[in-house]
Amino acid sequence: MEDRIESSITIDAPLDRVWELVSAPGWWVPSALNERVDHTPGHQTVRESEKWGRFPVEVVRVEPKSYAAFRWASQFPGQDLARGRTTFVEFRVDPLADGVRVTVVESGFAALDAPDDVRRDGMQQNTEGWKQELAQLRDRAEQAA
Amino acid sequence: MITTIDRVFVALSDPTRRHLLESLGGRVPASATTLARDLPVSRQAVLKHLQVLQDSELVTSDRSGREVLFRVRPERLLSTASWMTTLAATWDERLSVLKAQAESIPAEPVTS
Repeated sequence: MEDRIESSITIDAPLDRVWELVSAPGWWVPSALNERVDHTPGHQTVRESEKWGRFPVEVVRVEPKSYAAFRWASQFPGQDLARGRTTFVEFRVDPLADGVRVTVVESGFAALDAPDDVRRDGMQQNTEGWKQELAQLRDRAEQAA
Repeated sequence: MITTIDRVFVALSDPTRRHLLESLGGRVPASATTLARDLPVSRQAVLKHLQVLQDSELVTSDRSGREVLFRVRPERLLSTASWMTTLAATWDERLSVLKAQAESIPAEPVTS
């Protein structure tokens, strides 16, 4: 099953402006630190604030000015990035007639406890959206409760 | 919380396990033997799948005489669904902040 979250928004601002903001690693976590933007794959930026904690963010891939992908350990503030505890965050930036569309997909919530090939096979076997599945199963479960 | 949700996704990633969960969802508690009747896999395979479902707290079992009967635990599924909903809402908020920030700066000419 697909373990992903998707959200999107339309922004009334120039593409360059939106791209600059969206492609900054860890922009979505408030930070008192202000590191220079580095899009080199593998580069880690640390975002840190008293309120939200410390979050290293790693660059996975950046394709100016349409796609930026990062990894972070959203559920483990303060911890270094480790295999098995990071989620994958992808941003797409698409120009529209009346603005710019930004889409985010966060995925990878399933643990990497199981060997990679077991998980991959399991994920590929599912062709339906997870939301539908969960909703259906939840309805059934609620009826049985 | 995150560790259990990880397991829920792994548990739900297998079609046989999804089928088992659906079967259990609409009926009285059932044994592995009963459940295996509906499936093209052995009772032993069904037991292994039920173990994964139990590890992720989607299913629980009770002994009834000489049998072990399995039933769904709705709470884990509901809490996972609600966790995902909360996370989606978090991203909605972040994008709203991004929008406000992007739209608040007057456009400046960008030299390439």
